[in-house]
Amino acid sequence: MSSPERRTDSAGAFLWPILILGVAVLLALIVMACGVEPRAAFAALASGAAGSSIAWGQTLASMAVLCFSGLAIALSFRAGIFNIGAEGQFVVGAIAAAAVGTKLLPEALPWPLGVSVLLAVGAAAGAGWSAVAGAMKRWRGVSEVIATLMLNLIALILLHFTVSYPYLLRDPGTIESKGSSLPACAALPGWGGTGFHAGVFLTLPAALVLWAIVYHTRAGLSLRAAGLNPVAAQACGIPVERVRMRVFALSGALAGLGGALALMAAGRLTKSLYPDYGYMAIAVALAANLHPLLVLPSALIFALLETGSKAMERSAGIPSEVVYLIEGLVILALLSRGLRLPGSRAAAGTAAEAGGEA
Amino acid sequence: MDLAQEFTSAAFRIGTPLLLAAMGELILERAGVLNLGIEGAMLFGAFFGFVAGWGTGSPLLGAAAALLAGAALAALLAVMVLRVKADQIVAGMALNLAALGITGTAYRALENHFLRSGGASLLAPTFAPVLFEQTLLTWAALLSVPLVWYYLERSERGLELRAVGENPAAAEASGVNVSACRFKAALAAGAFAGLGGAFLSLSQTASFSSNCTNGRGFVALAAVVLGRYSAWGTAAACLFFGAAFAARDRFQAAGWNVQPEVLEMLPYVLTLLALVFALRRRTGAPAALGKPY
Repeated sequence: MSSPERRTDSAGAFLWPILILGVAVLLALIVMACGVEPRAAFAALASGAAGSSIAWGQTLASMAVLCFSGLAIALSFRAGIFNIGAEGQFVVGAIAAAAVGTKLLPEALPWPLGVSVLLAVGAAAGAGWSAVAGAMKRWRGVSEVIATLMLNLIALILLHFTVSYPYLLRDPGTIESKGSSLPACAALPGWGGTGFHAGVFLTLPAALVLWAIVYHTRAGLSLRAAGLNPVAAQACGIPVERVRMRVFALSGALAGLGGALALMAAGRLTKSLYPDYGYMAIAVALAANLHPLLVLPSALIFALLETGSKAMERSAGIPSEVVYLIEGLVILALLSRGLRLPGSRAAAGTAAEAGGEA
Repeated sequence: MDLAQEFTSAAFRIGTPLLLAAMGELILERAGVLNLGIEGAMLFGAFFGFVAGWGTGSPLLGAAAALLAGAALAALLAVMVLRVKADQIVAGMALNLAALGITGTAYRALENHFLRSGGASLLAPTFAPVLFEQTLLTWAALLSVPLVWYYLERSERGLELRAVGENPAAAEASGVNVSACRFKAALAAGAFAGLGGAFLSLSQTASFSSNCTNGRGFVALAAVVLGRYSAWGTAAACLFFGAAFAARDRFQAAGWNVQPEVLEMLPYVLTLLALVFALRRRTGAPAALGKPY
């Protein structure tokens, strides 16, 4: 199985149990500090995440967002690209879909058409935003880490910008800064106010298609080869630069699609449309071992945690920020267990490339 | 105080946390480690500085605690990167998430406890201005620029550190302990970032809130890139960003019809534009930056 290389490193083997222990102790301390009995806290977490149809609806809607961003990151990391820009691509996809949906879309359009148009717009915008970083890397040698990080921050400010002014996307009828509501043709079919929407059904085909591409096509082979050893791939006749550009665009499209879905599920653009999910998706993708099919269960677990913690805050008074702690520690634990990313191994290759250019 | 004076004062005040964090980031990046955990280290400094300052009643002790807290988080990053050989970028992002979680959760728990026991509002003592309306931390930040420059460009230790960042294998062969050098650089970077965070909770506001650093670590990261990895350039970029943010606040206060978002975006847009058009491939980045060794 072509999973990222695993090593048994003494320091890694040593750190893994310590981190897990650390999480447990910290969680217990936090729960105690809040004056709540641990068992009650976990009951609140479980019922909030999966205890009712509303809880499941919210969990599955969160899962859809995490899944698309997680797939975007898994794909990029597989190709040796440290694209941490899913957050920005998601936001730009949502902004673009909101702009088209509220300003251009004719009201009379039937819903499948309206929804498809907005999904396409979101995907295109995400792909474009990501391609900016790809082009900077390809033609100017700019690190994709810096480029995608800056583009994330710019996208978030753009979101605040567009929902703050009526001449942009703000709803002039409200005091709060939020976007105008989308027309009826862009409403995703839902399930009676549970938060569940038809977009959730798109996650399985998306993961299957990506799995097929990555493991069963020539393009996927090129992608994996470019990630594992760009120099060898180039020597075998794989156009590494072009493959990377395509990966940038495709992963941006995935994240942007998630943005359009989240927008349509919410009905309007808001400042807090699944904040930080693009960063959580890094944890989702790593826990899935960068495998497209494993992204689904991984996203579900993180979504359960996310909605459960919100409920735990409401009913037991435990701060929901604790989720960030768990996610960060999960990534550290996975890294210390010896999970290596294809891109890290390519370091020698890129050094040789740089030397070749000089 | 007239407008120009007020503006200059604000620019230095806003630039201080950026300057402190960026000086630390510069040292670590010159040693070849890309530290995305800088945001988390600042947040750690802001929180632990606040708690220590509030507990002891002394902002100086608060700053000392912030220094240690930032260094502790950076030490964890260093262990992950140097011992476990984890990817620098992913480890840094993970530490940011963890720091956001720890400080947010702990602060909320502390606040609940404090308010339940009859306290009014949770505030720490602040640094008082000492000279030209600026606090001790601002002067320390400004003083650190020539010191960091001297260390990096003129001292023997700095030469070793730069060698580690450019070509770790060659540095190791000539007798430099690459891991030890990078570990120390990480401790320095964490301490600087922690102090920068403490400035936010002990000088600007006297309070803490969840995610109160609000991306300032990433602005400092941008300043290092824009300053072409030199101490003077980085400092200039930080003060320029400080001036841009001060201008945003002034425009807002004056009720001018300038969108604050445009100025907020400036550091990031400018950094990207500089990378694409001005710096081309002469970015000044160490050759081994971000690569595992």
